[in-house]
Amino acid sequence: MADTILVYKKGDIICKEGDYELWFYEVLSGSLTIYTNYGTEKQQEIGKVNGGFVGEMGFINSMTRIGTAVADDDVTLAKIDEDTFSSYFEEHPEKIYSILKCVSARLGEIDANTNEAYNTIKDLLEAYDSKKETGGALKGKMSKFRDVFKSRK
Amino acid sequence: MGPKITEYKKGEVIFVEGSVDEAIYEIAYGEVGIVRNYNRASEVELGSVREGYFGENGLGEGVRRNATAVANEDTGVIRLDAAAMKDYFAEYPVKLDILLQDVSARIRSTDKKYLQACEYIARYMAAEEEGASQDPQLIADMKALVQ
Repeated sequence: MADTILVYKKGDIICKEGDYELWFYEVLSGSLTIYTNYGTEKQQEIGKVNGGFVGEMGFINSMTRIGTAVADDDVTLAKIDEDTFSSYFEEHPEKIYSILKCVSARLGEIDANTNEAYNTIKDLLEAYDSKKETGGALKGKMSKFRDVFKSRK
Repeated sequence: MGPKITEYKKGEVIFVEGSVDEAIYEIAYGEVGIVRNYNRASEVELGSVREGYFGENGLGEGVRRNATAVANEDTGVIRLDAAAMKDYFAEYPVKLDILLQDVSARIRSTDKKYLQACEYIARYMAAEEEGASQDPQLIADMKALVQ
């Protein structure tokens, strides 16, 4: 089965935050940036993709898009949906490692972020229990996690 | 011929925290414990696996294992590195979907904990900035989360 190839220009929106779409993309060339609250005051960049896959988490989990994907330059994508998923990886078995690397990287990233947040909580509990003020470095870390919470409310 | 199963006796280490090991593992039989700070005073078992996959966050160049995997009993595992994956998923194509679902479920569950931690920190900071006392329930919840 032939791949569905899509071409986007710089600034084009590939998919929108909150949309429900049962497909994902392999980035064949170019790069794109993922934003939350794109085009608003609260816009925040949450990742860049210049190879590998995008939208695979939404496809696998049947979830809405977690961000808006915008082309940074001319971008060429292969679209993979429910009908083409099996045949795509049968025809391109070398891509299996790529997609697993992609989801593995997401898992590693979320694991690392969670550990850092937990360690920050442990540090602030220590300050709380010993009735000490939270120092500048700890406050900086706390602000980072507060900003994450605010951006995802 | 099926995939190669590597056997480990109880107590043997499958991979070490801090090592680079670009592979995912499937359990053929037995049980694997996932342990941080293995063999040190601060050793903590993060969980154990009796079926399915483990080590899913270890792919990617230079990614270091964030825990040690130890056989809790006589155990057989299938190690899937880049070379082994092609034949493995050619023989068992449905397992790719199962593995992706498995990793996604872990991402969702870890992300939930992450967001909870971020919320607690935000609430703690709000009280601090208002000059208010910290809510004892918040303190208790934070301690329960990170214990």
